[in-house]
Amino acid sequence: MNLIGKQTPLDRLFAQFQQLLGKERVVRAPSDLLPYECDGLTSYKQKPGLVVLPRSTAEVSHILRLCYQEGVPFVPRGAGTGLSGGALPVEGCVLVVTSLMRQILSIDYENQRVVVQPGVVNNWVTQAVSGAGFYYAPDPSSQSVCTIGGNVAENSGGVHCLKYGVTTNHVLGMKWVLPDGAVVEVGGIIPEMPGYDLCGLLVGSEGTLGIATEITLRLLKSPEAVRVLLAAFHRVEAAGATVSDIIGAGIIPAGMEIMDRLSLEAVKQAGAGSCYPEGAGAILLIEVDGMTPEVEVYSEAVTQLCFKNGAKQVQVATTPEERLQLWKGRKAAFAAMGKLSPNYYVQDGVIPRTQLPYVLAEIERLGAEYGFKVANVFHAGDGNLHPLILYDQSIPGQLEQVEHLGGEILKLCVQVGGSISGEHGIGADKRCYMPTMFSAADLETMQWVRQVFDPRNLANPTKIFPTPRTCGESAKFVLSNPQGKENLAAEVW
Amino acid sequence: MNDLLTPIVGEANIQSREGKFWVTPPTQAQMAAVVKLCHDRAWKIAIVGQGSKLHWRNPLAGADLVLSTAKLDRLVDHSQGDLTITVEAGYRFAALQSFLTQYQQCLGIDPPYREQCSIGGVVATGESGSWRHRYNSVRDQILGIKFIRSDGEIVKAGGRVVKNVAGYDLMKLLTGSYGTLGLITEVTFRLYPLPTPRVFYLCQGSAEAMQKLRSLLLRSAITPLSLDLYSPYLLQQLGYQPQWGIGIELAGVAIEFASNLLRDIAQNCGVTPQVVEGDFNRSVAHLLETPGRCKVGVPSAQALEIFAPIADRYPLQIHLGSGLGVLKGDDTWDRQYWQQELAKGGGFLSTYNSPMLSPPLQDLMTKIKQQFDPLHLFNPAGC
Repeated sequence: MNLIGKQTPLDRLFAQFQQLLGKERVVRAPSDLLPYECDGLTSYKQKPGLVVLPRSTAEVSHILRLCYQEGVPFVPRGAGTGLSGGALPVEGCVLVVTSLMRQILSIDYENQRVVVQPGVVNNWVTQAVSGAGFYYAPDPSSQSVCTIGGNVAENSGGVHCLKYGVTTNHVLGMKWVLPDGAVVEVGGIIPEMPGYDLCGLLVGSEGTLGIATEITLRLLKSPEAVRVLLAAFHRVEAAGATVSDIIGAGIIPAGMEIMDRLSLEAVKQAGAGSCYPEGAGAILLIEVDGMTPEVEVYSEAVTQLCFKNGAKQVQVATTPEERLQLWKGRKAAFAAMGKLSPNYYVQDGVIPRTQLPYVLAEIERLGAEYGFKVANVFHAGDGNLHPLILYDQSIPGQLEQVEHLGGEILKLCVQVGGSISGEHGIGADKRCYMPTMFSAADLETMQWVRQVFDPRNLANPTKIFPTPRTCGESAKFVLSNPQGKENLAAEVW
Repeated sequence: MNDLLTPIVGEANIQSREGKFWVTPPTQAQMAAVVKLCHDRAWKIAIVGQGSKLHWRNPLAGADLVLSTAKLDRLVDHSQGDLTITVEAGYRFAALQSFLTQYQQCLGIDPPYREQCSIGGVVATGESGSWRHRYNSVRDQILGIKFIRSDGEIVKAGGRVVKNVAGYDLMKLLTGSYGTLGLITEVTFRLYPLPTPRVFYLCQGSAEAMQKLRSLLLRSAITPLSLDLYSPYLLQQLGYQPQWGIGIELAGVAIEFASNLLRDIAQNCGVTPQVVEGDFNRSVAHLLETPGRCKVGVPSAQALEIFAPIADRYPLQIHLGSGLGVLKGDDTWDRQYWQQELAKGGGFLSTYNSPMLSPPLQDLMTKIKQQFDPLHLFNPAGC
């Protein structure tokens, strides 16, 4: 508390939140705030002013209303697994953590939908409905820990979105708390309700337009047959060419993933890639699903295309256990980088699939130019690259260089007609690269939406959009800006 | 007005029809210049594409002039290997599908009026069709969009790649906005391999049999292109028995397997699938033509029960995957009653003429309109 007896807005909120939620669900002690000072992008850190852990829509609404009254910004957070600093606190903010809102509220198999709270972990949904023959399609690599609320905020993808789409294609409706605390219901139990598609607009808004507190998801029926093929190549370019050939042949597999030599080395060292062939320059994982005869036809065609492009061998997994084994290394790839290097920096860019060979060669060239090794693990079918730059944070200046290299890779993606983010979001990490993709007028138009939902700029301020203030200086300056004035109206364009 | 428009678009692109100037700019830049002029003069603009849906109601009401995208009909980019295409808004839907057929590709949309309608019109109204069952809605196909704001500025959102989360998803906001927020000039779509071969089956029977068939099909291994429910009245009008029916379009390499599975499931429900030659859904679309055409949404599992009281009197088509569909009423029916009935179960009935800025989201939607078009220049009849 303030020593001179004058209460700050945070002091007042602290007292009101304790009254609302009880002492256990309001965190303010500096040591208790430590776990909340960053998300999955650990190179940026900032302690929040307060952390609150609501359990219901009413509580979230109450919290945001109080923040609004005090003019204090809030930052929403799910499990904190995001990789773009979307849940990175801004100084003096209230961090609204939805991880206690973890109930699956209803399941309706006949209409193929489920209603969940935002703190429900992604793969709990599939676990809850798989017995009845259904599943929830978006499956980010972090699906065993990341939450649906976070997925909604970032419009998360996963390895199966090549065929089935990303989060936005699976959200039918939401109960949504606006930044002034008002509760609205957007979308519904049926897609395309009349009126503007607010549900589609809000998915992927990265916490800058409010917080989802109930989410209605579309369930898909589990495919009759699933087969995973693993093809080993000498060179990653050959794996990339195979991806183009498969798509060109009119086959859309459920997922297509490439891991290069360096990432294979990492997962092998981490003990997760025991079934991957030794000495391969790259592997291509292809999951084909559907009705049994089409899976057979497509698997055969895919196998032929792999060999045509010089695959050394093709393994096929049909049972769930075998498939899991083949996917295990891919899902563990990011974490396995720790075996190769003290730190790694994940980038998330998208390119047209046909540009894969050129872009991979360019990334290698850029890495060499900057003196860093870059491992590549990516959603090849979508052209969604995840270059992992290996570095050592303890060496002064390395992080800055790595960020610069990451930026160069993003610019390369845009140059070939791609995007600076496929699924991780813009967050705090990439806002300064938005002008490489969008004109000032494009960004201004997006800010019009912000004006409607959050005219006081209290919802996750400083994220997504560049400002002369944040991007005129280095992003790092902003993140540790001692004045903490970034939060409020200064952000308006 | 003519004096100011002519220097921008040239005389040949201005016509006078029904007391209004119809302006058809041949480039996006000229279109933007006309919108800027309208903005400066506060002239209200009715936006049309190929005019396929003008009969839904009069969208020209209250407008000072008509802006048509009919000459914005260029193919901007077809990236065959990436399964993406970028076209201008006036491109005809049918022409685009035939263009793509030569590459064994297609748009995953089969909208009404597909012979005549423009891409911009399909997006502005968000009209998909039966293929929605497999490919999802129009909004799910759009990767990027370019549009002219009410102040005449050309802006874009999204991109040309199949996965992209950079910035707000204005594609979703513009889809189905009936031209009330911006004038769509260019759209990038994801494409799909052409679904061939194809076969269409019709199953007819009692409401109970159809309910069972619906449930079993949705849970089966079959992944049809379309799965639609038809009212007895609709099928009678097409020369079939006056019974409920479900139409299933199958496609792809497993078509025989799927056909056999369908026959087994249908037998289990006491019905026999019949192959229908020709374009069945086109005949259905003709029957559902306005006047009286309404868009409806119901929870799919409740569709048969909800519409039972009027199924013998009105043509009705419900896409069973989504619960969306079309109902054609007439002068004698109580539309308001049905609007309320459907709303009770979380559904809706709308009359196809505007994005319906209805409560309880009216406030937010009105604010969006106000922010994007403060002078209310675009489609004054639309909201």
